This record gives sequence, C-alpha cells and structure tokens, in this order.
Amino acid sequence: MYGWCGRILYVDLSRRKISKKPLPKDLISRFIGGRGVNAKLLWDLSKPGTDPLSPENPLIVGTGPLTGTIVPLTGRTTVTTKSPATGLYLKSSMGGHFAGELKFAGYDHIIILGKSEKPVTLWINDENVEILDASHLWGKDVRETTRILKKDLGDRDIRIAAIGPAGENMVKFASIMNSIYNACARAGTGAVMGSKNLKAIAVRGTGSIKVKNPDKLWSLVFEIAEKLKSRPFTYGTSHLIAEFNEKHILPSYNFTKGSIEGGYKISGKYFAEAGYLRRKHGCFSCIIGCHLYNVVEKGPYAGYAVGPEYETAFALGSNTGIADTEILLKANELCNIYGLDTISTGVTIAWAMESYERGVLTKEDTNGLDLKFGNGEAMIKAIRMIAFREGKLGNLLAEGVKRASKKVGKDSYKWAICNSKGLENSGVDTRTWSSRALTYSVNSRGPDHLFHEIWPTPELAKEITGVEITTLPPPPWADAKIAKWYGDHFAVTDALGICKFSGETMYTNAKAMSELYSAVTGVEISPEDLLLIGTRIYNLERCYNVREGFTRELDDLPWRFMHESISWKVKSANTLPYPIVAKGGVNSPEDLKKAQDEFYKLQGWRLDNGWPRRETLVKLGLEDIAEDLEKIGKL
Amino acid sequence: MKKVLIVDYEKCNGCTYCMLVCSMKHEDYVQRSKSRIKVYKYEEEALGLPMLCEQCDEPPCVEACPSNAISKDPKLGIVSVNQDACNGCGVCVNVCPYYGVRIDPETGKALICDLCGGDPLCAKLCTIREAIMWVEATPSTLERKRKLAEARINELKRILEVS
Repeated sequence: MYGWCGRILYVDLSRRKISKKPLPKDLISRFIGGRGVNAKLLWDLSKPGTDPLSPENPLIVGTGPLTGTIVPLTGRTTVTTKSPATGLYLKSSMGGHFAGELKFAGYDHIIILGKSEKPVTLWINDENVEILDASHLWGKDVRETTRILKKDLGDRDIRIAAIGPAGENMVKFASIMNSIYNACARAGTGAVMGSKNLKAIAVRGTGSIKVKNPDKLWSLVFEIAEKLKSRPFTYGTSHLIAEFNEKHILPSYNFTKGSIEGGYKISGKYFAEAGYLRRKHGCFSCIIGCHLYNVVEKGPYAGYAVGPEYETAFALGSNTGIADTEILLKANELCNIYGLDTISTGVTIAWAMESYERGVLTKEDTNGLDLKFGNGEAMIKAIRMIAFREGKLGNLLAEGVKRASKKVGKDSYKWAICNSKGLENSGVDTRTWSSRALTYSVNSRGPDHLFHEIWPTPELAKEITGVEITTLPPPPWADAKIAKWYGDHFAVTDALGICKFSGETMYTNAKAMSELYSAVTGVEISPEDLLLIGTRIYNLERCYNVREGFTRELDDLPWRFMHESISWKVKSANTLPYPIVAKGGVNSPEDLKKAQDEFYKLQGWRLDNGWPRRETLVKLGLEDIAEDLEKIGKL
Repeated sequence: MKKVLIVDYEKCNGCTYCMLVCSMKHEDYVQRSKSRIKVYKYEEEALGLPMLCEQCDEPPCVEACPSNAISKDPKLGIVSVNQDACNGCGVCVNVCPYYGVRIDPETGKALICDLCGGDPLCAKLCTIREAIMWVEATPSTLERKRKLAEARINELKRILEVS
C-alpha cells in the first residue's frame, strides 16, 4: 500500500494475546485513518453503556496515511476511547515522535482491549511485539519511565508513550505523554490507559513508507515548505498570552477577568528575553517546531521541560492569578512528568481557589493550603496532590470540576468552568470571543478549541458564508456555516495526521490536502469529497454520543458564560478574527440556542434532541450506523 | 564558487524531517536507515544533533578504506562510495570523527552524504529553522563550519554518555 502500512495491531491485555490484521479497505475509503478510522473502530468494538474505566473500553491509537512520508508537520497521533471525564466520545491527539515510529514499525493503528493483572509495557519492535512486565516502572514519572525503558530495551531511538502517576491513579484528566513532553491531554486518555495497567507503549520501527507519486509529492512539498515560512511561530502559541492580555480576552482568575497584571511574564517572548528559552522542540517531521524548551537553572523552582503552550500559560498562570514565570514553568514540568492535562488541572485548581475565597472550601478541605488566587506555592502543591490523589483536596480535585462541584454543592457549579458534558473549558472565554461559543457548545468532547479551531479573517468569512459579514457578532446562520466549515476541515486534518498549525498551507486548505492525499496514496479525491469524509467523521462522533445517552441539554456552555456578563471592557473589540464580544457580554441560552438551531439544521440534526436524522446519515454513507441506532431506539 | 554544508545544532528542533527527505531523495521511499544523515535525539533536553559527512579536507574514511571504495571529488567536495567496490567492512564508520557514515542494513554497503549531487535537499527544506545551511565556502564560513562541527560532536559525546 501507499501511505498506509495496511495493518492494525490488536492487543488483548486480559488474555495477553497479540494479533495483526489487515486494515480493511472499506474502512480507509470511508474514514481515511487517524481520528476517522479510530472513531469507527470504537463504534464497532464497544457496546453501548460501557464503563470507561472497565476492561471493555477500547483504547485505540491511530496514525494517518501522510505520516512517515515527506509531507511536513504530519506527526500527529490520535487516541480514541470513551472518556472517564464525560462518559462520552473522546478523541485526543498528540504531537511528538510516536506516530512516525509506529508507521515505520508497520502499523497504522493499535487497538488495546482488556486489562492486565499487573503493570505492563507494550513493546513493539517492528514485527516482534511483546507484553513486558512494568512493575519497576509503576509509580515512576514519565521522564524516569522513558529513561529506564530506553536503557532496559537498549536503544535510545525507541519512542515511548507513557502515563505518569496521574494515569495510574486514574485522575479523570490524566494524559498520555510521548517523547516525554507531548501530551494526549484532554478528558482522561491517561486514566483509561491506567485502568488497563498499561504503563507504556514503546515502539521502534525500521521499515519503510512508500508513496504513489513521488514527483508530484516533491513539488507539493516544496510549495508547502515555502509557504510555511510565513507562519508566525517564533515563540510558539504562548506568544498569544501577551496579545490576549492586552486585548483583555485572556481568561484570568477563573474567568472573572480578561487580563492579569504582569501577564507578559507568562508569555513566550518573555521566556526568551529573560533567558529561560534554550531552544525549539519539533514534533516528528515538523520543520516549524513551535514548542519551547525552557530551563530554570536554580532556586526552588529549578527544572526543565518543553512548554508551556498558550493553554498551559492561561490555565496555570492567568486563570489561577499567578503571573510568575518560574512557577508556571515548574507547574508545566510537573503536569508533564506526572501526566496531567494542564488545562483541566488549572481550571480545576482555579475552581478550588474561588471556592476557597468564597468560604465554600476551608483549610480543612484543602489540607491546610491557603488556596487563594495568586498563591503559586499552593498551586504547585495542589498539582502533586491531584496526581497522587493525596488527601481530601487531591481526591476531590482529581475528579474534575463537574464531579467536585457536585460533591461540594453550595452553588459551586456556578463557577465550575465546564459545560454539562463535564470537561473543563479551554483558554477562551466565549463571552469575549463569541464566534467560538457555538463550537465550544457542540464539540463532541466538551468545551474546547480542538474540534474547530476558528480564526476566520473577514476574507475567509466571506468565502465560507458567501456574503460580507458586516455586523458582529455575525448572524447565527453565518456562525453555523463557519463552525461547520472548520469542523469538517479539522476532522480531515486529524484523519490524515496533519498538525493544525499548518494553517492555510494544509489545515484550512482542502485543495492542498486532497492533492497531498492523492499523491501519497494514489486515491484520487476532490476537495469536496474529502470534506464530505470530514462531515462523515464528525457525524459518526455525534452518533457515538447519542448511543451513549447524549441529548441536546449537553450542548451548552459553562454556567458562568451563560448567566454572568463580563464585568470588564474588551479592547479593540469586534474585529475578525477576534475578539467579538457576545451580545450583552454574555452567551445567553437564547442566543446560543439560535446559533445551535442553525447549526443543527445545516448538519441535518433534529432540533428537539440534537440527534442526527436518518436521511442525514444515509446521505453521509453511514447507513450501518443508522441501523445500529435504530435498533436501540435512538434514531 | 564551491559551497559547503553548515549544521548548527542549536537551531535544530530534532524533527528528523531531514532523514525522511534524504531517504526519499535517494530511494524514492522513506526509510530512515537509508538516510545519509542521522539525527541523534536526546528527548529530555529537546536536543537534536544532525550528524552527516563533513566533507573533510583529508577524509579519514578515504584513507582507511581497505577496498579503495571511497573517494572525494576535489571540485564539488562530494565524498562518494563505489557500491561495487565497498565490502561493508565498516572501517569508515569507525574512523569518521563526525559519526557521519552508516552501513545500509539491507545492502551492507556504506552510506555517505553525496550532497544530492550539489543541491542538498535537507538544507533546502530546513528553511525555517536553518539548522542545515548550504553556503558559499569562504574563510569565515569554513571557520564557522569547523567550530559548529566541533561543538556538535562534543554535545553528541555528552548525550551518548548520559542516555
């Protein structure tokens, strides 16, 4: 095959059985690879109502057909499973060097089922696949685990995806890390891996990847490499912190403010100026390399790690009221090596801080920590307590804000910044960037930016909607069109294995993606048909949620966004691509419903409960899914 | 004017893209063991060290090859391996001070950077980071090349020790 390896690796940890099966042609023609094929495998391999932390929940790892070729920025690995945080669909993807290594070992996907009795490592060495004892690794952090495994296996070129103590302890927002610092972070992939007693997956691949049309591919690649030069990634995503802070759209103090005094100190440019930045870290095949490797030489927060990204600097910086470089770098390092999602960690701690300041949590609940906004030392301690589930506080926060606020009560759901799905909101206050309100609410995983990364310039908004957008916020029908456009592109990007930071060179450029796909695989496809696959993947994910109990009420936003207007003024407001302040400074349920109605109509979903209609699924080539849903009365 | 490759590891982000490009260029498919360049990675410190032939003035590999299979073109500076003559003994791998030679595991023959015949694609496609540059050979660039190669080899020895 060209592009694909053409094989799936099946691992049953309960029976310690390993098998290799061909990647079905029908599967790739309908879903391409990566996120798409993963979604269908999850559908087929699990029963409705599966407990996310039970042996029956499959953990599926996927790569795309472009990974391992000369198409740059194609190092993404997608992990798909049922989320222990939300009880719904979960795809989370990571950069790093795992996907490339897996392809060279000869596998497009890994399916992990069952549960091992004892801690184990899955060791994939080309054709030789083994389940190794990992008792000596249990309790070790991601960096130590990586170090020991490379030594044990005697090869420094092995790539490792591992969990830290957080995953072992099944923290609801534990991540899977690869290349030490690249996170598959959101909604608890690490907890699922921990529930299976799977400490790590180590891979070494020495095989080859062939492409159908090398000449055509070379010319496309030269073009992309040239265009990528203009992508502004000098200081990674954390350069946005300074800009958002100035515009007052940087979520701060648990989303009660849009800026923080001294916020420049948690931005990428400052890391460079103050001498913390040592070099750039690139994921597999990424000639940009947007990650920053920072070092704190001495003092109580001495350490080293890749990051922080924008999301981390918001979550463990402005949102907890801590604009301190060294504390942020330490917090980032700890989350990386303990295997925690920085977004959920920060948003959860910020919820605890607000609860503490309101007197809803006392020192008795915080194990003596003076958990006020701005207390960096307390935050560092809280991160460790979460990862190891230490004390009352660690155990409470390890469940995430939805469960924690339910347990604590006293109206604390009002400042729990998650939506009804139960995932902590990422670093956008949709009241100050309202074109994202719709997408944050309908996202299958929960309120974040990683199903539709929306940044339309006025020109692009016109191209998508067909009209000049003259009023902001845009009318609901325009919001809906823009959201769908990005959602479809995002799904294709994730299925091919491309990174979103390729921007207009690949991610938002269906023509380029279809040409690359054809040159690599030999499958001719038009940009329109490629996007149709994107819509198919997006709808399949929606169907999975329907199967697991989804109804329209879950498509909402955090209570605070829907009921409290912002109390500050946003600077340079109402300019595409951002910021666009919501009407009245609040994402009112009425306005949200209007936008969602338009989006549902555009998708062909029912307005009463948000379920895809039969004719929609048939049109998208998802008849089999429709039949399955019909059997359980959900169509 | 003659040109030389300069590799600045401080700019390298360890993405290994050059290895993919190198094998694709020479084999029409991607297989890293066929690449003439190898990036040694030390993930803890996000370090990448691209190691390849430095086109020495008096290449020790040429000198040491018992089969006289390696030669250097004085005009372009390209070191090349006569595939028919090479017996895969690996002496060149051992004498190269820059970790710039590898044995192809399939053919058993030595792999040495051929500068893509005078237009090295690794440099051409590392245009954003500029960790690999293809520059005119002037006294100052040659001096820079020497210094960077020395720094890189020292760093490699350090990471081979710690990892």
